[in-house]
Amino acid sequence: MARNPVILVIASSGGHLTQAICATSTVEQQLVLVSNKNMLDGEHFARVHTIRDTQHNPVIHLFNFFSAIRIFAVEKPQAVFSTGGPICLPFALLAKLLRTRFVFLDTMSRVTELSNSGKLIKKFGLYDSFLCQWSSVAEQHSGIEYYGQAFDLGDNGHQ
Amino acid sequence: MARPLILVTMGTNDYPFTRLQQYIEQEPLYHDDRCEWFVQTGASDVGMHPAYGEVVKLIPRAEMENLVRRSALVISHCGIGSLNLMLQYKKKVIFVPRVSQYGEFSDDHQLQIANEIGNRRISVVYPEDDFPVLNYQELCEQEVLPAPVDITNYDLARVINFKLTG
Repeated sequence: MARNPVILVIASSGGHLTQAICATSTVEQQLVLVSNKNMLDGEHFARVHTIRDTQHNPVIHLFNFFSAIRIFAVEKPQAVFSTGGPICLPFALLAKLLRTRFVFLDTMSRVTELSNSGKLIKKFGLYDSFLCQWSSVAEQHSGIEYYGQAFDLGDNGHQ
Repeated sequence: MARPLILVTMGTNDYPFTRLQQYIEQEPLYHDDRCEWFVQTGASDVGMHPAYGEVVKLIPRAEMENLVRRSALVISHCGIGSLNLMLQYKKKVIFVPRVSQYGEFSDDHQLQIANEIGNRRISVVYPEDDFPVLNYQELCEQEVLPAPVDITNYDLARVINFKLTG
């Protein structure tokens, strides 16, 4: 029997992950997370793969590229989604090479310009869809779409 | 009466946030056992302990959510993960943005996000500001929501779903 299709979600722990959870809240496929820490015990993701953090040593990206190959081989994702941080770069590159759909949502925390990983993904065209969360950032670039923020920053929320 | 809980969170990133630790250690209520403190320091060393409460480096997300739910006040760095939880539970929040000039982050994006938060329950302590003196009575009067409100932007989520699977 065919396995439930997988959407791979790449998100660093903390705010990137929070945004990824909100942004994938209507996806019905199986969601599998790749992150730098596994601090999660909720039900949003079927599985979690932990990879090494790249914040202080960019050479880790090379190491993580091989992790990405292994994770793609195991999960055979239908598409890949990321909200950053830099740990998403090898996955964006591999998705491009394997012609797997890659959707990037630049982080809400960058109010005046794209994040550094967003800039690289944009520059090298490593995406099928590129969205950001501030209209002023979207206006600076062609090909970046804006549909609001992953969650409501106002006083009320939906009751 | 139960002690009001003051939650301090510095997030999960790798930069220390010594300034926020100094702020809370100088707070008279940090040394007053009528209050319970829970301090999550991330990359900062665990410093002075409060009169009553705990100081830890990292905790699982579900545990953080439970602490946010119970708290009378949250004092936090200006990260998106923290912001999301505090909005869900409609918390009174004091945000302290990390700034690069003190080595608290690689850039000043937390200042920029702080400028965008127009929410009456959230106050921001900018680097040039003094940290406010906390009021015990006010802390005791804070209401605790039993369950979070849903603040997810489903319009964006539907767009993402379509882009991934449509």
